[in-house]
Amino acid sequence: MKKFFWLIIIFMLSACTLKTTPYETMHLLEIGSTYNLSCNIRLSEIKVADYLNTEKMVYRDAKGMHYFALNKWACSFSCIIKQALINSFPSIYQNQGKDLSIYILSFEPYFKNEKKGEIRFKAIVKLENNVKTFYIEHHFDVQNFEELVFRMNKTLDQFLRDLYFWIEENC
Amino acid sequence: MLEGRVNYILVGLFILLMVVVSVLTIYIFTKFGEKGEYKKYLIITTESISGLKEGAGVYYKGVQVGKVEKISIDPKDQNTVKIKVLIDKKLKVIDGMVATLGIQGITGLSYINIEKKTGFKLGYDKKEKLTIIPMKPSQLQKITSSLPEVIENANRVLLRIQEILSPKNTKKIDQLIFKADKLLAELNQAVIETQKFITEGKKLVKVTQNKIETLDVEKINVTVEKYQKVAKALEKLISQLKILTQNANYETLPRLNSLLEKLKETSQELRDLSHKLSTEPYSLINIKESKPHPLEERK
Repeated sequence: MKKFFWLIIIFMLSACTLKTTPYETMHLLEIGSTYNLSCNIRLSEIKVADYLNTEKMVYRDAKGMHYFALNKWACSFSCIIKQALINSFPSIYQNQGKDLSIYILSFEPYFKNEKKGEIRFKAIVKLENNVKTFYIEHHFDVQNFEELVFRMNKTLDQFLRDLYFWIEENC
Repeated sequence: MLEGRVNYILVGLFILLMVVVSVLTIYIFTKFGEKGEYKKYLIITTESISGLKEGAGVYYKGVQVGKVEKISIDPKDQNTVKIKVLIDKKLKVIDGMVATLGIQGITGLSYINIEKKTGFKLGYDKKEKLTIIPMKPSQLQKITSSLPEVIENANRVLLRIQEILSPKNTKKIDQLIFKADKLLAELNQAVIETQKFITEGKKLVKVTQNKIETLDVEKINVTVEKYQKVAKALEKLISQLKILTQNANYETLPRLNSLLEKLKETSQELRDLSHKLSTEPYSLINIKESKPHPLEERK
């Protein structure tokens, strides 16, 4: 009976030792450039696909879609994008000018193997009556997660740059 | 000799006595007796009393208690008939008694029937100095009085039917039936088309479900469940529509219309859902957490 009692204690303690809380790293997207728009633009709406609009970071592989377990965004993805947009175009955070609406459809790495793949970004932007779909694909070959986030930063940088030129064209 | 002589005075007196006795007997057995055992009452009515004759019986609970003495039209009011009846004194005529006209078998002769009925009171005729028994129209009298109206109405209906079935209208009815037939045929076609739509929808749901299962997401399943519910509802509507189409008439047509409206709404809902599934699948995806990616464990 005593042996059985000790067995239960050891079994219960083993549960505590085996269960470790995973260490989570938070990320932000740092913006490289600031753009000055030649016309007044007002950010009226920014929408993000539901599956993206979370603090969790999404990735794809041949099996399907997943969330990274140990890395996440510092705030929800729509908040990350909004912050990036305001940092790049400080003037859009105002109450007058042409209405700018952005709908982010996808922004996630697609892994072809453990380290290689491509970051896919898709967004629909509407400026008054002009609509454009932006689609960017960046190949990556990274060694760790920080490098992957850096590549994602670059992808977003390119979108912001393309967006700037498009807005200027349609101002 | 006195023995052989006839006394004519005595014979004359005897005959006279016999005549007086006879007259008295007749009187006693007729008028005098009646007056002694019967009491006279008055019945006034404005209904027809055809078949009722003087001398006809007066009955109470099926027992003859008297007879009709005199029937006359009121000279002051030509619509009113006065019936004087003699009723056995033994029968106490009280408030709540009412007279009705009854028919005697197949003879067609009528009689007066006295019955008790609440709500009737006896009256009194000062001029005649007689108690008035109220009279209510019998079922027969009611039928007799309403018969002319019924016949008139029937005539009117017949005239209308004749109008409706006039050659001009018959042609119109034929056209209407032809149009209704055409409409029903179109409706049947619509039902077949809708069923095809349902089958396609089901296929789509099945395909979508298979894909979703591989992704192991929850939200899409909920949406597809909703999709399936809508499809089921649509199926139910269509089966109702089928029954209605088979038995469509002027009563069911309004129901058919409302059903078609519902069908339209449901189809729209189904269309919206399919559109959402096809255009914004990402918005429905809720990805489960997985184990760490190998890249996450690299430093």
